[in-house]
Amino acid sequence: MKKLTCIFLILAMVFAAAACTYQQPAAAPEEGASEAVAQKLTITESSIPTIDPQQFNAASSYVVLKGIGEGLIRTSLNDINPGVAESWEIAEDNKKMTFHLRDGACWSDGTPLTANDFVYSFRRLADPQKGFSYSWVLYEIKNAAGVLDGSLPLEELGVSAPDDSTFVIEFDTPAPYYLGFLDMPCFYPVKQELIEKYGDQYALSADSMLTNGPFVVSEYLPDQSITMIPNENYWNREAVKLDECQLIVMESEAAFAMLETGEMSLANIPTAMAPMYMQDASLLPDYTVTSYMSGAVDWYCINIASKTNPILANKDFRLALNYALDREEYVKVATNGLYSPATRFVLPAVAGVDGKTYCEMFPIDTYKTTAELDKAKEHLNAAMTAMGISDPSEITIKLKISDDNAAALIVENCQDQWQRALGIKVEIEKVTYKAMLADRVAGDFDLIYAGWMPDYDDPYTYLSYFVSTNAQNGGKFSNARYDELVNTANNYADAKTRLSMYAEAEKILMDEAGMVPLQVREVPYAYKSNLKNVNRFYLGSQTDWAFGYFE
Amino acid sequence: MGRYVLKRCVIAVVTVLVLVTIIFVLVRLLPGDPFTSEKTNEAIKEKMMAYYGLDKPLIEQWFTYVKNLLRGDLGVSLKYPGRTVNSVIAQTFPFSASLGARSLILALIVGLFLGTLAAQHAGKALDYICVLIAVIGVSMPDFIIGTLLQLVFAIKLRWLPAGQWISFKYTILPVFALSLYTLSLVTRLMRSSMMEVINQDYIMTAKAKGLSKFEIIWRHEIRNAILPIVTTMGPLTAAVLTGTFVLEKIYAVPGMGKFYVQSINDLDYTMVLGMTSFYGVFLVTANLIVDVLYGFIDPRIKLEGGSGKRKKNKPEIGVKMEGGAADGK
Repeated sequence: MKKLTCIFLILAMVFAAAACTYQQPAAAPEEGASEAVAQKLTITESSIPTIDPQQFNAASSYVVLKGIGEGLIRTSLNDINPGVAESWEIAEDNKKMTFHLRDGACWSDGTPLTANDFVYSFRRLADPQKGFSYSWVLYEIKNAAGVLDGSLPLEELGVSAPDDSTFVIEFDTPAPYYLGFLDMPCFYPVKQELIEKYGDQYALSADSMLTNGPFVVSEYLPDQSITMIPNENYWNREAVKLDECQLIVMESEAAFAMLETGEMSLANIPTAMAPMYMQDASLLPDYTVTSYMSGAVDWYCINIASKTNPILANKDFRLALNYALDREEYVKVATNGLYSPATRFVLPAVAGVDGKTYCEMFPIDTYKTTAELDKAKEHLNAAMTAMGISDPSEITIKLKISDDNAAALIVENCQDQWQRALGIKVEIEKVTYKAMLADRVAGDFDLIYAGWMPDYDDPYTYLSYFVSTNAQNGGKFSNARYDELVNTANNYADAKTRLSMYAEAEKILMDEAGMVPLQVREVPYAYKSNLKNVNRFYLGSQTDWAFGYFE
Repeated sequence: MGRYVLKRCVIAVVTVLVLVTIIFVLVRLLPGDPFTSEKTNEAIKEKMMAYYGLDKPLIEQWFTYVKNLLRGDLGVSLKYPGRTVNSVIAQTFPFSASLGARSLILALIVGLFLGTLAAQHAGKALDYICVLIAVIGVSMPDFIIGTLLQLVFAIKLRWLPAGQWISFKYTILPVFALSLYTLSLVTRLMRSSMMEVINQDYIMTAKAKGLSKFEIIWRHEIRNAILPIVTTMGPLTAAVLTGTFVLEKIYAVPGMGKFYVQSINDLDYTMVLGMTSFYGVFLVTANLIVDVLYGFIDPRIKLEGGSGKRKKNKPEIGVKMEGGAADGK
């Protein structure tokens, strides 16, 4: 027995020794700290499904694509700056945009990038033979609907290149907001030669792609890690200060653990941990903890056309739901005050004119952030009389939410508030995310928890949702005046007139209680304190790191 | 022997086909579809369904899938444009396998040692310590042990990296966290199996023959007691090598684990099927190997026609193991 014990003990010691010798390099975190002065950025996303511009299907891919690619324009915060196009003209009727590409525009291998490359890329996205999930972005462009369903040839798509350095987009209806939209990765150019050479395998390795942005991919392991280095042929090379950017794919909890050990330059803080880190800066000494508005607005979509629950069609009942909510309470209870309560649909930050935001220009005061119980009860009574109901407890509504949603706590708080304030029954129903999406389109719900992210800096990106002809409008809110305002506002060249029409429409949506606005999301994150010029913003890629640097 | 293996192979193929068919039907019964998203519309969704051939009759899709599967082609992912399931497995399996193999080896060495030690000192302090370790290991879920180790050794003490899989030092925490459960299981199994063997007549005979204590343990006790452990190795190896969602997530190991779970959430039909088939083939093969190995360890078991006896020798724990391992995903 002793011999056996000896053998095992020796084995155990060998193991331990092996572990100890390998611990040496790990026990030198100072090394990592001194590297931080080096211009190397390490960031993370939980999944990068693709880095092929037209295949773009998830916001997280934007973070990479904005670093390695560039469209006609380049957005930075609210600003629309020149990209491949040096200048542009927009026709008075907002139905035509002409872009002038910069002299010497080129791909990262130095070969010229021409207007025809853009024509090819736009047509690739419109190709009816392909399945590109973001091809809906084209709908405003002339003939796009016909091209997408295959009834018109690709050549009929309203994009053209009169010469190598001029690119023209024509629209079916006026689309003044479209300029900022062109920073979407699906509008970035790809080179025809390479697409034809690699087909579906395009951009699945560093060698099988060609880009034109500030960075090029030097190493790519799909959905695992991407290493990017500066593109020496980029027109604004001197503005690029980083030597390398590595994006590692991992879950946010793991990313935050790596940030705590100093290995990550920037990472989101998991929501549950956020209050602790935001209150005590000493927990992360080398980092700055803050948050940014991600642009996501959360609300309940009400199924006005519900066949099973007719009371939802009653405006007074919907108003009662809105008035009964103390929006400050659930924001405080569920998010520790991180999110801010919303009383309208459009994000407060969306730009207006003359340096004011749209919401500042056109305040809507239908609802308050706190509950107005008297009004709520009044409207509930009116609804009950109209529906012939004597006891509020006879009313049951179901709240649907996807089971992966971190907002479950908010929904529970709303349930409690409505039950207490109105005396109605509220049931929570959890389904998978995909089932939730399908149910919303199919109209299989009473109230469903929804979120919306902006595509461009204009109220239209929100308000077009509730147009009665929009298939996404699963609650079937329908108001003739609303449709008219939202659909015709784009015909007015004067921005102020246009925005005032949107404001009128949004006021109708609130007065009719077509939805229950909930809150504006904030994403808490931490970044190395000496990291500068990395923008996190509700538009564009959410994380715009290409021109960042370490001080 | 050759005929036996051949027969088992045929059964294995049929098993995998049945498995694939069941999953094929089940995954289509899940509510929702792969392409509906917040922003897209019905027309584009249908275009994408057609592009991936999902608009064809289900039975036709099944034939196409099985035909490709038999050629080893697992199809194209619906979420990762252009990527084949084969390439995803080729890229991620080495990480999961490396993590799994390391933890399995560690669990076996330590588990067998602790189990033997406990049995030899049954009822004494050493036994209780070993049993205590085993109980803690079995009852503590991997996400607790994983985060705890990460917190202490990576974030607080800064001895080891918190995540990723680059060199040996990155493997220590995940390997240890993953091995703890298996280690405890092996310890308990080995202890009880050993206790049974110790009281056998042939041990008495060996002692009477005047063999040394070491020789008795090594040649008679361990060799006989190890049989149940070998039985569990089949499903265990398959489960451990093909990735563990939770630990890979905690330690940012770029393995297969996340694809098992994520593909179901994404309704990435081909990925779900591909992952399941791969796991199925792996499990069936591992079991086959274990069955063959039996013959070498216990010459009493004859592979030809000895199926009744073989079954009798397989302890119930084997079945439980599969369940336990699947829970870890």
